[in-house]
Amino acid sequence: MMRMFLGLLFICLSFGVSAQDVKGVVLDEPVPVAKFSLVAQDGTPFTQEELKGHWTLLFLGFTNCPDVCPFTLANLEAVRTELSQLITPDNLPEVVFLAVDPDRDQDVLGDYVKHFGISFTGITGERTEIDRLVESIDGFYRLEKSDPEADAYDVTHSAAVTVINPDGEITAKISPPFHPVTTATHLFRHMRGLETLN
Amino acid sequence: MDTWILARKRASAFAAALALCSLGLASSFAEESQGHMQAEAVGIVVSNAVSPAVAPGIKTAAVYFTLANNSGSDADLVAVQSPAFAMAHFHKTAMADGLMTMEPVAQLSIPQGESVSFAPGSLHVMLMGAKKRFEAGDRFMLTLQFGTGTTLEVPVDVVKPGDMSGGSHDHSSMKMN
Repeated sequence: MMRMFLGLLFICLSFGVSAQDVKGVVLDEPVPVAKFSLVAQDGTPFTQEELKGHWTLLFLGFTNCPDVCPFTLANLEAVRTELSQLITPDNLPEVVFLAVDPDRDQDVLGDYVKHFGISFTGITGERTEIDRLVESIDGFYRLEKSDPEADAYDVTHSAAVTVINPDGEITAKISPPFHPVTTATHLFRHMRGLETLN
Repeated sequence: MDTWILARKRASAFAAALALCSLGLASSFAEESQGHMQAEAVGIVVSNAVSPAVAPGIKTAAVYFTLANNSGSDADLVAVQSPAFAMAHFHKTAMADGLMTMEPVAQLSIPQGESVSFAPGSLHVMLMGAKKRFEAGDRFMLTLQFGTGTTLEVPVDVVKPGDMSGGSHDHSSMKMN
């Protein structure tokens, strides 16, 4: 987790002057997403190669998450709607939801992601592969299980959305609350390489 | 448009009426007859109670609203339940060091004259074990329980994901038990 922080410079972003500024970081140099092998909701393999050819907004969470995950995913769909007024549909970022609680997520993942955005992709899989991707995006999660058999538990997890460029490289992270208009403006500028570095 | 929820109940016993009074939820008492008192309790206002629709197969949900305490006395929210769900708790999402965590909230005090917002990424009612699936446009009931056992029944409107501007537009009278 520290590797990326130590190896790179981060530049805080502060766009606009409204009370809903987008908070986050832009990496000084893009970092390729490490190799991983997961499965999309339709059963097809999903690796780092599937992140290439388009911008991606990657969010880490779990389907039983009652508050933050639904709010974030709903906002990301709203962000795409806002962005669609600025860029062509082919250039819209794809939203990928990394489900880190496969025991409970696997069976409902397809319905879950489509509930928020018809184009959304949900991915999950073996624990070691989930962890590979989580580490690569400098994320974190922890299943708050009181015992191994528990079926009602919370998952502590990273709040940020990872921005991945069409080369499959991490370029930025953005933090909640993902207000649709300001986040779309922020992403539009970021995708065009227009962010203000100060 | 807000939903104004007025607490109103014909209390069946003098003791119950006293309890209401001590909570600050009872604003006036009418005639006493054979040991019974009529209590009219006004002052706890819940507005825009909404629950984003959840995906098929998902049994957890959240409820958001604003609660204003205009009762003239401090109020303590101590419990919540819904007949539509097996369990309900007050929770608070907290972000620290970039991590989202959820903490149970055992009791929430709302000083008189103040309000508290239940909103995404913050305080919310967490519902678990949905007994049926609700879709946008549906409504279910939520019961808020206060410190002395008095309760407030709140209709919750199920809204589309991301649509937090929903909520009832009518004015409702609420039962206080």
